[in-house]
Amino acid sequence: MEQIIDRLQRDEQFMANVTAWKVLEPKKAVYGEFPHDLNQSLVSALQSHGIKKLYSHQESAIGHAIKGENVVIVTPTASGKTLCYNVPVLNAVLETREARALYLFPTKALSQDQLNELHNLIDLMGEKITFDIKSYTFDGDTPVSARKAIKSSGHIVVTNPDMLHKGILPHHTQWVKLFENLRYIVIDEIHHYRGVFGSHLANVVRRLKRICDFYGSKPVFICCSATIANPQELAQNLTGEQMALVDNNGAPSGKKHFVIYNPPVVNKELGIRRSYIKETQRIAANFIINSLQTIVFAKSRMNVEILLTYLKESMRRHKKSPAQLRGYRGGYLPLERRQIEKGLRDGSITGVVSTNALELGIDIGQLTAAIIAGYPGTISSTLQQTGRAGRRQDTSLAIVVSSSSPLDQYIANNPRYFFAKSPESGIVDPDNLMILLSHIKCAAFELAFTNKERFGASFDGNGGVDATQEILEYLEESRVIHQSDGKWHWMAETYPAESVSLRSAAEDNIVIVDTTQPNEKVIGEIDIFAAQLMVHDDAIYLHEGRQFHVDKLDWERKKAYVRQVKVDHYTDAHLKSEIKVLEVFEEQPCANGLVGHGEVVVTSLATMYKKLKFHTMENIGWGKIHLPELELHTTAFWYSFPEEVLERTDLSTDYFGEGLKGVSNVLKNIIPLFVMGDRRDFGASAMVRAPFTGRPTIYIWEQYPGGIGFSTKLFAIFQDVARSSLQLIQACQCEQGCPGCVGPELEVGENGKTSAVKILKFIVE
Amino acid sequence: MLSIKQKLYELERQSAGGKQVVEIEKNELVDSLPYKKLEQLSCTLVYRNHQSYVLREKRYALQFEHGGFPLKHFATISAKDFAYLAADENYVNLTPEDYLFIDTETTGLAGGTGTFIFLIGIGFLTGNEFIVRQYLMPDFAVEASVLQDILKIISNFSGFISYNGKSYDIPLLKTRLILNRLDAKQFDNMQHVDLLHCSRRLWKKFTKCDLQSIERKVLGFTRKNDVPGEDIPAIFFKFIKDKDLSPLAPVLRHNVIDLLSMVSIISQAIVTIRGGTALSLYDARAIFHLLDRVGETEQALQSTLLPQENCDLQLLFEKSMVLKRLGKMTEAVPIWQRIIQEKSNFEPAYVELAKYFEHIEKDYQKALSFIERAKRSKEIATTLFPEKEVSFTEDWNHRQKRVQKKLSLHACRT
Repeated sequence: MEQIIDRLQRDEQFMANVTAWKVLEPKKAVYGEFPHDLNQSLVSALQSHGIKKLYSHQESAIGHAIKGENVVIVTPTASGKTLCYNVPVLNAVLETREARALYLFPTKALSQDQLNELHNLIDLMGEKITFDIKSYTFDGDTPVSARKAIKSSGHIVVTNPDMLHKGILPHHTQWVKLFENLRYIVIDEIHHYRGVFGSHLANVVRRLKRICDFYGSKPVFICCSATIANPQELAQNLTGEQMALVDNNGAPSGKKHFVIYNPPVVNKELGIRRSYIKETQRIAANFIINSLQTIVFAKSRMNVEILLTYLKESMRRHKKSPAQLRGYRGGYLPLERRQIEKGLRDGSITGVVSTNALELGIDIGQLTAAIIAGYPGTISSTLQQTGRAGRRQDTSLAIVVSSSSPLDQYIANNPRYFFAKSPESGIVDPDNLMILLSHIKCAAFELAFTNKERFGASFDGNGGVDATQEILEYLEESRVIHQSDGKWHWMAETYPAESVSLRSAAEDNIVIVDTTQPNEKVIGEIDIFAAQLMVHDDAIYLHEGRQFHVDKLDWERKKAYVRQVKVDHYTDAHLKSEIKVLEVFEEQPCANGLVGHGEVVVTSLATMYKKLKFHTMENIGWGKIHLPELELHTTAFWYSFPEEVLERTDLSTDYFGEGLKGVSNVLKNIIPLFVMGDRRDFGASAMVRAPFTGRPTIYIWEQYPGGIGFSTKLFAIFQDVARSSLQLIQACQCEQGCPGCVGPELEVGENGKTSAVKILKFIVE
Repeated sequence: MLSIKQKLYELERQSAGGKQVVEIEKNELVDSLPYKKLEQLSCTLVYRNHQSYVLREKRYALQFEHGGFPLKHFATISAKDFAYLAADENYVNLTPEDYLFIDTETTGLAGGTGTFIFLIGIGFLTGNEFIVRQYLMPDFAVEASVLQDILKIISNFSGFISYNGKSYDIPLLKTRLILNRLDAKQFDNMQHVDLLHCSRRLWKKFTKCDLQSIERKVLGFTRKNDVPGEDIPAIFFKFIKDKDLSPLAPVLRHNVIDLLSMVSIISQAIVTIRGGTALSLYDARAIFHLLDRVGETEQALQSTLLPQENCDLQLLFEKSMVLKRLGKMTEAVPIWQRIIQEKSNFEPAYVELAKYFEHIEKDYQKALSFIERAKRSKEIATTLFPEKEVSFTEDWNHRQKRVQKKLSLHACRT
């Protein structure tokens, strides 16, 4: 490894594109003691396993938990966080045999993984204890025959939010033993629960607490988070309880090289840089061909497939078996994923190209290098992804290859920002009305509400949703609940949890059916918003490096029929959106204009697609898309200019329009820097004369029904966002706009860039 | 500013694609008591803890006939017959009077804690009568009182008889008890004969096994003017609003028929098993396995119930496998030989013969000859029916190689 690093550092061509090369020095361990009141057989089991002492953060976390205080632990990858919860939980079971714990992980794969670790720890105690401590995963894959034993005798039940939501809570009477004796609830990877998913999870936890309350238990929460700006706040929002924060990480770490690489400009006029995908391929191939285990992260499923195709080609050229390189992303079936994880652990797989699906703590062993194609969007994610390389104490390397997107260019040109700034905040809005309504329905199904109840109150009875009773009245009017004798009873045939998906706005996914062989085969699924763009009629859909032609998208039956093909192009769909303001929450003067946020309706329609040739990206044709318009009721932030902006910026209406378009492009792309979101969580549109305000206005809306709190945050920090946007455009080397700043000249016109700068200056002055 | 309710209407309308319009109707205040039409349906009101529920009781003389059998027939079956019904040799200690028939009507089939039981129907034998009692909950609030009364009755019995109650009615009843903080433990000691399982064992190959299919195909009657099961929740929801009992009359009747049909199914099942009236070949096979399962293997093998042996090679083969399990190879081998004589492509019989001569007799020549015959019959089958997928060919080749190897080793040694 050292050799390759050395070679890279002497490669002048490579180094010319490196905008930052930071070496993180190894860090020594800081130790703490085992708390005195821990069960001795547990302590001696750990000690005999080589854990003579705890790290400082483990000591603090375990200390809080065994005192019965809720705690959130912030830990980097591979710092021994599992002990922070396994120790208090096992301690409780050793002291009271009836004690129970519930573990929540965001995905099934993680549950399996953690269970193995728990089993090892329990085995260590072996003969020192007089009874079996039973731990099980409970998820969609658990055989029916095993379920009964898990329900009655599992001390530790490991599951995921979806299963808790659909399979456990609505059937809580089958889990009496668990809920009566529940001592700990462990929620790992809480940084993953942000935005929509987090807002759902917070409500699932509210329901869980109601059930605990019914059975008379008052469990302690132990949460773990990767590095984010507000772990304590996020954990409190998710659990509705006060939390202690533990962030005194005492784990050692190895030497790590962290490189930011910006592909060279190939066309200065248009500001076009060499494709970051191809650069990633070139850099990654160097590692994989030299048999260094490497993970390549790509931002989209499509990019995973493209990179996989390219890299397999280079392996073939170097006479390496392409079977040693695999793709990994949502949409692959579970069995396939387990095989890949195992292959990475045992070394039979040298390289993997993945979406952020592998960013989570799934155990794939220690890899040597992590190559990240495009800034993942948040500092927190970047740290998670780079953490995949060098989990052991030896030297590792992580390279972020910038794409031409504005956010990437901002990071590439301001690497200090990346290294100096604290990571983003995890934002959730448990009171998003749509999400809240869904979960109040589910909660009413689980236990009748009383007419004094406040949904989401803490165990001490504080807080809770003000509108609880009003929402219940609404549900009575909709005939799904019935009030009687001071209680609201569920009164419908339906099973509400079935129609509530925690992970996306869409209730129904589109199933992708491969019809190449006579026996049709389901190869994956995709939500309806993505389906609009990826599996419309005649799209080329990529899966495991193979191309499929979409013969028919059956929108009604939620099925896409595809057939394997071999063509030299892929397809890229275009989306058209419109926005209408329904209600203004707040509006106030800001610098020279007005900022506001409120409720809006956005309509979106996939209209056409382009066929783009691989490698050259040459446009070789197009087609129309015939799909129904999707309507989104959400929240938005806006900035509207005063009437006299044209005179004051000295711009013609046309130039102003081009500039405005440019500004909205930059804003949409740079906003994820400030909130822990993804570019896809936002939509933007700019209007020279907005119907609602009658003035030039920029709208930024949230891509989730009802919104999840980003708009409120933008309303508060808009000046900072505008200032960074201005910096970004000014630092960009292009002449008249490029995808890295205001967008390509073709889109924003030849004066787009200069106009955008004038407009942004007007905003921040 | 939109109110929360207005927003919810708007949001839900949109997420439903703008189609669904939720009706708002003012709750009419109805005189909650007495319920309309109470007397006409021969129901009475039972008062408990300032609440009331509706009770309906019907008594049937044992001569009463339903589904082709008088109720008396059930009264006379022996304790041991329950072992056949439950396919469990331990079910031999209770008599018909010890069992409580149970069937519930609910607000949905989804299951889970939000499904409400609004009608519990029970039936039991006492003296020379069969009594059916129906407990109807006109409101959610009275549930705890009804459940307490039901628990008292259940404590007089030692077993349940139900149709799909093992996975539906009883777990749901337990859920309701837990939600009302009542003790569900006494259920755990109850025996439970679930007639759905019994029907499946006997008639699965003959008909679908939902209760009404069994009534039509096995008991030979069709319900007239019965309310479809899927309409029942809506009828109850309407009753909750307007307190008019009359639309519930067909539901009460539906529930009574369910209970009475269970009694008839028992009679039919016992008659079938004890002899004489096998409805099909499959019946015969099912009975054979049932007897074997309750420990009456000898009786099963000699059972006069078996149709002419040359009619059903499959049954003959299943019988031979039981003989094999019992170690009675000398009886099993001739059966296999006979089977392949009658049906030259009956593959499982070849497998057994090949195994027997390879592993037990160690007569490799003979084993090989069966393997070759099996392969030949497979080849013929493949040419005749090329579209049919031919399995096991690999297995046969593998077996052939192994036996040939053993044969040559054997030859070397001697």
